[in-house]
Amino acid sequence: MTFVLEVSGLSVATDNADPPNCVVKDLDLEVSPGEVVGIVGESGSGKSITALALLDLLPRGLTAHVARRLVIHGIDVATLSHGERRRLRGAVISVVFQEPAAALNPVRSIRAQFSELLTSEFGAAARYSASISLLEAVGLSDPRRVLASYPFELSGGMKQRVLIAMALAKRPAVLLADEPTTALDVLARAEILRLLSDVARTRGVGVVLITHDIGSIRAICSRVYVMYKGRILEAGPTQAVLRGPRHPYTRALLNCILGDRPPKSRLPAVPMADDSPTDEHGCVYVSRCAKATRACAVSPTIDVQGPTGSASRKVACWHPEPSAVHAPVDLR
Amino acid sequence: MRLVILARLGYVLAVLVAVSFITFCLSRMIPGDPAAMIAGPRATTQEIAAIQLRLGLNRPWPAQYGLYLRDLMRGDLGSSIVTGRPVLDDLRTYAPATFELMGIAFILSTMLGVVGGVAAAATNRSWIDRTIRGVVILAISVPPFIVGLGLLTVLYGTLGLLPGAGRLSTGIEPPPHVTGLYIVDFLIAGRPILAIDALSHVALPAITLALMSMGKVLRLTRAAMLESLSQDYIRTARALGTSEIRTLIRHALPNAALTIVTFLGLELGSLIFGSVIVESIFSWPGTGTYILNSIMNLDFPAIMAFATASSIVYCIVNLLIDLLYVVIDPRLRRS
Amino acid sequence: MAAHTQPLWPSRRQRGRRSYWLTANSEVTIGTLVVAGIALLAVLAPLLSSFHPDTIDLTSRLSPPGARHWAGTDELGRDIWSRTLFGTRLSLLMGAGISSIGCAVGSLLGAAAPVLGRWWDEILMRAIDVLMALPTMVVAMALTVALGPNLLNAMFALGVLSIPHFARIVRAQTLAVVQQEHYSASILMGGGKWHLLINNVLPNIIGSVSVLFSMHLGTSVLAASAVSFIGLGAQPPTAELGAMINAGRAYLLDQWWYVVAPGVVLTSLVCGCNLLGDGLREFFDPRAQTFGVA
Repeated sequence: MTFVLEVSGLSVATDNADPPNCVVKDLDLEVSPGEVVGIVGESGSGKSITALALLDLLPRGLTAHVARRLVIHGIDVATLSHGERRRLRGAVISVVFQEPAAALNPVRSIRAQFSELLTSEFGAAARYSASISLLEAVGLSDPRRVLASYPFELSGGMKQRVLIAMALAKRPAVLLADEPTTALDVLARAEILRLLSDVARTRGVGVVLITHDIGSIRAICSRVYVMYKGRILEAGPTQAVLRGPRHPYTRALLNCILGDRPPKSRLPAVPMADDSPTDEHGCVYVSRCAKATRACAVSPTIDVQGPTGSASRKVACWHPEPSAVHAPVDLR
Repeated sequence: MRLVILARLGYVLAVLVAVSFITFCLSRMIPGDPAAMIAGPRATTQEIAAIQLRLGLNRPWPAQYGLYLRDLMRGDLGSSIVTGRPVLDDLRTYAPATFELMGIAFILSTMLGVVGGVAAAATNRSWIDRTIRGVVILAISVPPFIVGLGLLTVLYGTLGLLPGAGRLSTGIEPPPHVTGLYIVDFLIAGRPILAIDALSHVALPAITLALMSMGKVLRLTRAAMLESLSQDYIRTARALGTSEIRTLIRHALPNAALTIVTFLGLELGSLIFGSVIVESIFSWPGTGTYILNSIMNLDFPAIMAFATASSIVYCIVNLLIDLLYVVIDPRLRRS
Repeated sequence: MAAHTQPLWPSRRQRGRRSYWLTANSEVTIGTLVVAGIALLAVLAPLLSSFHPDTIDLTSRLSPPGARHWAGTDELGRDIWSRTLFGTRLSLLMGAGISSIGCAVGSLLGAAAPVLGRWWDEILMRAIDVLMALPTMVVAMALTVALGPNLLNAMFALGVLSIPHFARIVRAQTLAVVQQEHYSASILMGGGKWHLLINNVLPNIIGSVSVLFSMHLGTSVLAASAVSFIGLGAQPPTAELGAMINAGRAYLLDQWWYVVAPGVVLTSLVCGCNLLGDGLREFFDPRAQTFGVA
């Protein structure tokens, strides 16, 4: 089974602090063609930094390191220069960000912005029809009008679709979606999620959905990674993880979905979030975990269970919950 | 969109009227009796009274303002005490030289300022940026007359590299008059070598005039570019694989351009005053020299007329730029 | 983090917040030192010069710098060093005066307009628009001529013409303050216009007004000397830096010292003021939201 995105041992650290502060540590990720994979975690867990690291768009002060592998669509990215990495952006790996409002150049028409992306592949005439078909593919009903418009004339949902179309213009193999629906209303949110799912299915693009909304994960992701403070704490098929979370953190996270509780029950208490820099050696969740023991001062290894490949389960905990103990989570 | 343009034009007119009122007040602030000044030191009381009548100096000031406006629209800015000719004619004689000087200075300061500003913003916080900013501080701090005198002494006096006075070398005749700009006219007449001679003469004064302007343009371009580069659409462009240079020039710069173009319009005022200083240092026969002469001779009508003409030109240029925005920025076409 | 891995695509080397801080700080430090130093020289002028600036001594006219006359003498035998020092006083006073007039009146108008209500605000905006439609220095020149060319009138003219610059910026900042909750609260508690101005608006804008003032100083000193250079400011025999440079023009090639002392001091003064203003601006407002018109 060939993956379209294969990450093994990705770390991101700050340049200047001593000792360097690890924002992302030893991250593993696999995405198959046509698959939608989710990364879920609270704010500050390092999800967006991971996306930027994969794109070589890290801000000043952060550097990415790869301990083992980073392969995108068969290309070993670790050996490439900055310029070569730039050429991969959009063409092999692409991204949509959270806030569509200011993400399009306000003084250029949509058509001009598409043209710029399609120049290398198409001549002038073909560019227009290619733009139209891209806009149709993302579900815009009047692509000609949209092409002729300026960004300020479009709604948030339309802009996000345009951005997705632009992200797909050069036919990438991987699409990262960093909180693509957070800034949109509920209806637009559902549509964009459906769109991403369609894109994966029909174009064979590997989609990575980064979000803090478990509902979105539940809706379209076949596999999910649970991230906290830069580490993956649990990973596996969505249904399996959401039905039977094995890491205490995943459990606490799922407990916070209030819709599943019977009325008038007490709200779950989660210990206060901890912003201190992570200890190199211990488990990252130790300060908030109800089950922490002395053993947790050593970073737990990833415990792989079940069949290998995409159906595998991984849990990074010395005291994982036994499977199938947790009450079934409503997966409607 | 037509409504927007019409509204803007109405605004232009209103501002012009207000400006004309200010220049009217200025022209009436002249110390002493303007009629006596025009009549000369040996005029009789009747002659002075006659001039007063002709100029309408005895009528209430709203009527005077009306006369002033009427004269203004006819292009009558009064007559010079020194030359006796209408000031407008005097200005027309000297203006082309100043236009040439200001034109070259404007091109220099805009090109260097914008390029430098983009470079400084692109390499923000590097040694390139800090060096450029250091140069900018010097450029805007050294008084233009010191720059001019310095360049004159070093490049002309000591090294003899460039000429220090006049528009052409001695013995060279001006080109047949088409625009009044010697460089352009020589090129039209097919004498490129003489055009180069004219260019060499305008070099030092233009550099002097351009220096401070360039510093300000650079500083502003840098700030506007930094503002532009911090926006989300730059992140989109980079994320989709656009090269850094293309991102700078095709995405960041057009958005910064609005601010920059506004500032360029405002800089015109500094260039006009700067030309007075520069022309005096380099003996450049333009309106600046004419004005200094008028100041020395207390030729008040000429001075006030110059202020009026400059104000109106400055006003019109800036308001045209405002109008240009509506065309350039798609967002403004709606409001 | 595994020590054996090499950074594969290192980020651009970062200067770090610390050194950027220093840069801004060093601008302010150098600028303040320079201005303070020159101001000190100016204040102590009578003590530092052994000659009165106006004393004519035709026997030693146009003598080069030496033991007696540190910066040489001019065409009337006056000591250039003492004239420079006294001229510096004038430049400082002119600069401070012009900026003060502009700042005081402009800030008052700009702060009062939004507080007094829509009507006054509109009037002020239109007035600012009209005044800014005029080329500042040209009109200052004409105004000075009309009032009579001397230093005081020049200062007045330049000061008046710098009012719109301050008014516009202070108005924008006052508008921001007006929208804050403490302002509405004061109104609800019955605060009158005066009370609002002093207790709500003033404390919030005083910082940026000070920065604006310091940013404008360099411009004022420069403008004052330029006006004197073309003969409209200081009249002879007043020793003023711009006027001295103008007078020294004729002797530039042979008696070079004439313009050196006033030129160096004037340039340093303007440079110091600009460094100070620029450094303060970078420190308080690094994204330069007030980069409007200097």
